[in-house]
Amino acid sequence: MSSTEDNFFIDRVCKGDIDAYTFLVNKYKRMAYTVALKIMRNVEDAEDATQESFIKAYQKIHYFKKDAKFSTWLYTIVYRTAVYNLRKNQISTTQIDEIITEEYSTEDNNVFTVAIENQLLLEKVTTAIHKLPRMESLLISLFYTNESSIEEISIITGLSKTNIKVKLYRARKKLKKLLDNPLTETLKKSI
Amino acid sequence: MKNKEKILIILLKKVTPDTPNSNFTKELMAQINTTEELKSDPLLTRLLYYNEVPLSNDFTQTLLSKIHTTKTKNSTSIISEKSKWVFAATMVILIIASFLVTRNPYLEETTRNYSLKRLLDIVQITPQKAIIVFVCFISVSILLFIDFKLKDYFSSKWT
Repeated sequence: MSSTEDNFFIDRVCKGDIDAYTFLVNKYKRMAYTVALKIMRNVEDAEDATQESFIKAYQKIHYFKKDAKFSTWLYTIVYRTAVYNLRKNQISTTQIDEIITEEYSTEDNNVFTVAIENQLLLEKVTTAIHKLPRMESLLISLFYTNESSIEEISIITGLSKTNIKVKLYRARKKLKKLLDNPLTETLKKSI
Repeated sequence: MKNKEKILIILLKKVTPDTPNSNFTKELMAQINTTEELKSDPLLTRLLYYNEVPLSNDFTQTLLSKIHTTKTKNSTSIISEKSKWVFAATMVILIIASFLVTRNPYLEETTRNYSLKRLLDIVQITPQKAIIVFVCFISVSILLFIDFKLKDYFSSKWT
């Protein structure tokens, strides 16, 4: 449904309707910015990279194949632009070894839904995500916040599916450690 | 322990994406509009995307020939045009003067056989020096001829 809507606006952009692109920008700017911010770690640089990516996407929109998701295509551009800009600024990126682990189930559980309606706790989680290494932070955002599939993340980042799962596992482990106290408290409240 | 993990995952799903500044869309669309406006100007498009403008097949050849033409135009003769005319005029005056001298009835007998001697008398040159003057005239004539031939050769080659 969403993809059909995207395709409608993409068609209009291809026909020369620039204003139609506003819809796509407004729809994807937050996640695109999140992707850039996770890589760049700097608000201004992230905004520049996001803006640059949207312009690139606009210029190349005729090449977009509609059998793929526009968001995946766009985030790929954002990711590559951010990484390129980061390298240009000579900031080193962390290299993570490939370790094969089991796929982790991300099934939701409604039992705890009430307990997490706490804004303060969410802020702590956001801060903890920012403390993670660049790639892990990005993967968490894409997988949980944006609900991208492993396959889509693989397309965006160029990482293997196994590597993505490993990094996600490590990221969760680190987050659990960082958020140990708040999680324990939430658990106590919910029981 | 597993419950903690579940809470964490629910929390992660609840986290909202980061937000760029409020003018983000406005600024971006303004930039895109500017790019589009520039595209509609053919001259600016050529300047901005000159690589995409195809060049004619004989571009290099035309350019080189134009450079050669410019070179030809800039080349100057060793002997100036003015000097040539002065030399030619002097020659003409001397030849006419020698004929006028022969028409003088008092001098007719002597100048008929010695018209060159009379001519030399007019310009006050002794017969001994006449050979030097003669050689000078021949040399200048040869130089003028070479100059003319060279100029003609290079102009036909470069155009």
